[in-house]
Amino acid sequence: MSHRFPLGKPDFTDFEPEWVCSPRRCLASLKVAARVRAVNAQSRSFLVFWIACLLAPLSAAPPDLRPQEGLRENPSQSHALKGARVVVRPGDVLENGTIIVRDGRIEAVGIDLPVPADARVWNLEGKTLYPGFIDPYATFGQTKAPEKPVDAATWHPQIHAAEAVLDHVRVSAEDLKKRRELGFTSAHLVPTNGIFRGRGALLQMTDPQEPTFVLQREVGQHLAFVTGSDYPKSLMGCLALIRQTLSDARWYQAYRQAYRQRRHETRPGEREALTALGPVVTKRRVPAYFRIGNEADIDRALSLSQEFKLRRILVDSGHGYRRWQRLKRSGTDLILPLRFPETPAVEDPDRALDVSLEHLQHWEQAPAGPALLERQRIPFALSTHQLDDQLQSFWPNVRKAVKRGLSEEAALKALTQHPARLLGESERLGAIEYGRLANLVVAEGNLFRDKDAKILQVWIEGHPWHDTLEENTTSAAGHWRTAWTGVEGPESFQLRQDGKKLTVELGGDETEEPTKAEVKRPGRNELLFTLPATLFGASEGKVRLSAYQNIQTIVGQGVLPDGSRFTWSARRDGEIPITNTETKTVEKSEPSTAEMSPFEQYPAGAFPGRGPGMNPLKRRVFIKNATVWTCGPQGVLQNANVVIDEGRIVAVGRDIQPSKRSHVIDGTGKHVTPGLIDCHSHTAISRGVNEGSHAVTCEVRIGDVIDPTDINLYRQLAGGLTVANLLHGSANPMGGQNQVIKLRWGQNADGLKFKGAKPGVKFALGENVKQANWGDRFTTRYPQSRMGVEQLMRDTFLAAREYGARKQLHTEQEKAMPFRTDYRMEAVLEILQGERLVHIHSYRQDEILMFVRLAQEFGFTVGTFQHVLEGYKVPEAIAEINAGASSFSDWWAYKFEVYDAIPHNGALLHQAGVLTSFNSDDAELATRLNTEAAKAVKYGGVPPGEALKFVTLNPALQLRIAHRVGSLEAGKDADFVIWSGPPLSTLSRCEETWIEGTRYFHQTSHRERMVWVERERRRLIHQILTENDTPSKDEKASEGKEKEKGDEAPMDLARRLRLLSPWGQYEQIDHQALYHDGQSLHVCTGCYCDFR
Amino acid sequence: MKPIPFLILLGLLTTSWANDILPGHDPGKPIVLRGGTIHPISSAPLTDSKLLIEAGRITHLAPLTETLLGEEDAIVIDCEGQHVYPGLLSANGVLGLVEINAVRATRDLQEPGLINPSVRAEVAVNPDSELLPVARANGILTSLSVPQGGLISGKSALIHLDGWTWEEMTVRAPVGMHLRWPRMRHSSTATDESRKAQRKRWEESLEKLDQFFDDARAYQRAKAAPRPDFRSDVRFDAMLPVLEKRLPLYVHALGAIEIQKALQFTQAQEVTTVLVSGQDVWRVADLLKERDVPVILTTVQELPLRRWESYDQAHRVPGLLKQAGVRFCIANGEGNTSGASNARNLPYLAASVVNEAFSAEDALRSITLSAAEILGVGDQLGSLEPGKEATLMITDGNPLEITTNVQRAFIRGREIDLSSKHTELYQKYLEKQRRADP
Repeated sequence: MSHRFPLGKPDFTDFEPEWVCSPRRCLASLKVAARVRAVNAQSRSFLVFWIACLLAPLSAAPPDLRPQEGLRENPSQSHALKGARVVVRPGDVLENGTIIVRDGRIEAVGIDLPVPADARVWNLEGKTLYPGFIDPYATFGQTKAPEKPVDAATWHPQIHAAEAVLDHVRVSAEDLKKRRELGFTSAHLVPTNGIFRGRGALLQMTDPQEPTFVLQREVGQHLAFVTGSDYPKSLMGCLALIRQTLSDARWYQAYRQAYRQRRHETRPGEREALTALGPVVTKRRVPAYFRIGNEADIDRALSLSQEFKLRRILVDSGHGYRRWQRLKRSGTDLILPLRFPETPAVEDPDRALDVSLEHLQHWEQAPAGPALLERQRIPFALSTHQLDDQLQSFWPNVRKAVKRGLSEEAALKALTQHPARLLGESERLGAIEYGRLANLVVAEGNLFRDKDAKILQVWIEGHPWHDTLEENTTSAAGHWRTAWTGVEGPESFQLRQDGKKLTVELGGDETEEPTKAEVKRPGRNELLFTLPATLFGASEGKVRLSAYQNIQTIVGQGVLPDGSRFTWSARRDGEIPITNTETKTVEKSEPSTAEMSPFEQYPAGAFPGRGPGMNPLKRRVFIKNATVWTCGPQGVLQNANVVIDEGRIVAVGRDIQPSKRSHVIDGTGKHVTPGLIDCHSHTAISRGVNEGSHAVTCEVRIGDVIDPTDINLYRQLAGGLTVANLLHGSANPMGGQNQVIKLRWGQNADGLKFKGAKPGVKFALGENVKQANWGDRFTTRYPQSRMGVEQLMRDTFLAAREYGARKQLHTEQEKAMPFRTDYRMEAVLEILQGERLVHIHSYRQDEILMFVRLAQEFGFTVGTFQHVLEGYKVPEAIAEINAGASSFSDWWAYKFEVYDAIPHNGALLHQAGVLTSFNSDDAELATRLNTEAAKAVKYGGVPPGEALKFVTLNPALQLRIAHRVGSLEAGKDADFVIWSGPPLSTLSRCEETWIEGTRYFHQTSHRERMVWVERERRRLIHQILTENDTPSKDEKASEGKEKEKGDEAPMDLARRLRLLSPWGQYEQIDHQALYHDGQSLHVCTGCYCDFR
Repeated sequence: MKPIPFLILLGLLTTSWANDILPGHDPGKPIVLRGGTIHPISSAPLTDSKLLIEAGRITHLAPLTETLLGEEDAIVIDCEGQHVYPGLLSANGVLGLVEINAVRATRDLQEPGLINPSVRAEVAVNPDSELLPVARANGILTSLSVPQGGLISGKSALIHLDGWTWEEMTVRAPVGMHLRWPRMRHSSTATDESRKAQRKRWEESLEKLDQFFDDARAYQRAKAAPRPDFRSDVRFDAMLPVLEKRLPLYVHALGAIEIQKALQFTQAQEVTTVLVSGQDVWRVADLLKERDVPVILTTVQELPLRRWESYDQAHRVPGLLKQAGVRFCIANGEGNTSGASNARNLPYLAASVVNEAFSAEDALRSITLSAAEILGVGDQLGSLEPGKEATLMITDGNPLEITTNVQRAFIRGREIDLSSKHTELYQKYLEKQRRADP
């Protein structure tokens, strides 16, 4: 019962009857010390070794508590692994080393160690011994129990913080075997459900029935940014939920502590999820493992960790190498999945068009990612995570990474030392040293380079759990000295192993070819060959020889041509290295300096914004002789100059002179305007513009989910846009917090943010919030009418006011119990306190007026009425509270509440004294806001200079950023656009767009870039076609075209997308990935989706 | 001057889902447009000229100095300082078929099922749609209304945006049979499953399409020599003019892969083809030129199809097509910026493609004469030439510029009212402001 592991046949023939070095006895004879070399040969380690010997317990393997059935089995628990090349730890190798294993631990490591008397000796000559590999992030096994019911204590179905993976995942022996065969001796099994996923477990890859199976029952706390069909539906909702939960955990810790002293206070309740999160948010005892969905999540995980001072470990998606600079700065530990991209489908030239450049680049660069991280000294561990059904590609992928510049040492570190450290197991795992668990990998060949290398044995806590040593039997290769009985034969022969072919060779010298014959191996350790009888003194015929090989000895018999039998033996007296000419592939490391440059550019793909030599800051800029639309008090100036220094405008006028060494822009015939500002945008928002689940979601933040790879940022820059107000959608009455950005293309999410812009929030009225067009299923969420919208808002403001009062009271009390922060209420409170602007999506005059009255009643500030298409009917009400109006220039009739929208809205509002802007709400429209402004001239006769302010100064004022942007005035940011002609003309084109003295768009450079893009695509496609013969993704998809039921017909799809149910698209938003083509986003927030 | 104040008053009195603007009426005598700049499109602009309209047609285009027969009792319109252009022609859209997209009751766009060749757009055109006066106020005087959805959506009709009934409005019907090629491109971020599902959809659609054409031909033969038990089928009947090359097949296909496959299909089916497409057309320009397939460009103000393409990819297509010698016109797209409710923005679509390879004159032609030619009405519409319909407009500048306004417009020689729901509401609330602030 107790030995399920396959025990190999140990070799006792080479037994050295010397005394045994065990820590218990080592003091008895210090002379042994001279023979034991502490592996890292440093005197300190040496000392440690001996002290450790003194303190070592008698047995380290966990005892089996099961009662004995039948007779006891007590095979020796001691092993001597001899003759191997021992990689003690990365970079520290003992040639021809010996490892003594006892009771599951390593008892000694050294050269020429005495072998204990009771030890089984394993001759591992020619093999390499590594510390057992550790998988720091593995998903396997099957969920065995349904999820726990959600109670009030845990409240949210996505919060499983208190659950341990072993409680709901059943691991099979087969799961463990698969990993063992890859050389993994330990693996961190992680939970995969929910946002807070609970605790992982560190397992030994033995057997679930074995006492050795579990190393640590609870490891880390696992998090992932996932969304569901209810709150949170969006990424920003997910982040808000994480934030609230971590804050609650902190509060709960403090509250419970206080409650212990003061039992008369309100009981905190038993909340096991928050209890479980205690050690995560305080004292950093338990690390948080963040499962990264895409590279932008890296920044999100890091800033959340910073906010709550978490110890964090990032589990990369495979694209993390692109963000190496951020990773390096943060000093984060990283776990890399070893899954490389599949070969893109490029065979069909038309279909190849739809393979994006960054996809092609990723195909090329991902295998070089680990090498980049090594060069940049970013510590990482390698995992089988994401390999799922492709576990067998783990080692090929390791070798691919090594081929692409990853050092063997770093690769080994990533499989041993690093994961051991991450898992808090630096003392028990990760190296072959005295006292550690005897987790060992015996390999033949170089695992990191040679594709024919094999893992022969995997030892886990002193037992060879995986053992194919004999199948891959010790080669018979070598010089053998023979002894013949009853016949005169050759004194010696040689056996040569070439791949699977074994050949015997006799004689031969410079002049004479040796006699050769093939050796057959019909059974384990059996040899069978024939030699010419001449060698045995006979005249003709063959001599048949059969033998049994036992490592260094061969014993056999033979038959002469005349049928007479004899016996013979041989003893090996020399080695011949095994060769492999059949499949020999010398994989040398390729220099990867050429690949450095793409990594320097960001985002990946066709139009990176940041990279060597790109968009340098020009300290001084001088625009001369241009028509300057200042949008300030100076109005429109002909033949004017602009002086810019250090990203700021110094002067605008006719007679001003450039500073020295200025970058000069000849503005002759050109027009210069301030950078355009879009007061309503949904560009660059990841995975959900709406948290459309609850009616109030003021806690969610667009700022959490900025997508810095959104190509539409670049496209909009090319239309002169420099600032955008990224708004939450309008699916609920009180939505999320907006984020004003500058289009600093190439920066990360944080770098895009307009620091100092006044915080705001998006509210909404009318058809969207009462779910009027969501379909017949949506009839129960409050509110369902404009009447209810008002009541819901009123109630929420009252709630926030009372929350604020409680909070105030709390700070005034001397011995108050810890106060629970409610992020939703905090945001609404900020509105009431005038610290947060409201941007209110509105259409009809009745609701506009209602909201004006509500604002007056509660005394909050309305930054803008958004859309406000019937604003022209009640401009005086909007003016009364000094709110802005941010409108479409001419959209109308896409739904009932905009049937009375007219293009004169902007002009009428403006003329009634309302601060008015035109916005896009659409990624494409945002590329041409200048001509949108022209519509205020066309419809209602606003003078051109004033009309341009609809997309420059006015939105700046509305967003409270006019002290920095919106006009060309001394002291403001140098955000400007060079146009080929008058900015309101449809025939003018944007030539350059500058932000803070840096040129982010340049038409000429763009054209050059396009040439590069074409060339780069051709190069990569050519490379794929020449390198790869395997069927690509698309072909594979076509192979299995079995009929499935219920598939949608194209018409239904088209319908759902465009006509009947625009709300269906709302679900799609969740799947918005990074590096999208810009099209799908357009669909999501675009034409037919009326969440505007 | 015109009875506009009366009409505005009328507008103020009622609100309804139908416009109550009177259609233009026949003045009963000739009209002369004198002076200004006349832009015939088919030839260079003329100054010091005049244009004579008789019985709804342009009869003369002559220097001011010349005396024209029939001019003496004509209504004279002085165009000094102004410009005369042919009416703009939108070669794609759903004007008249939809009022408010989100309100189902107001949509008459498509039938269920993949194959609906028999439906004809003109019978569902609502002459009193509020959308029509809004479009024509900016010079869109003629528009193609196209059934939507499915694989074969039905037959389009060319309508003038003025008239008491759809019969009066219809210029030509049917114009084309519309085939919508299934999407064969995957988004770069699509999952394996979605790729597979999408592939299955298009393969099934194309199978249906092949089958339908085969069946239609069998029907054609059966009908030519009918047996006593012959049974009619309106879908196949509708296909006969297509099979007999009397009615072109308008194929809507967007990406290069779809265009290629669609063109292979129409070649194999031996039907007359018009391609309705966008950003990718230039990639197959040589083939289009070779087969003389005209193109209606409907995605002009659109983002590039792919992340790696130039931000202005869609704007560069006309220049590339012109260079390759492909016949094409520019038409409205879908959505809020240039779809039915904003068909008025057609000239700005054309303006956005002007660059070193495509002039402003080219752009104007692409929304007038080129469109008329492709839709088969080049002999009636699209330019100011004697013999053609007097469907034209007088503007205060280049119509490609937003700041330009249409001053007056004529459809078949009848002056139309340029007011609309928008101008009515504008006037109403101007009045509110005036009363509040005397």
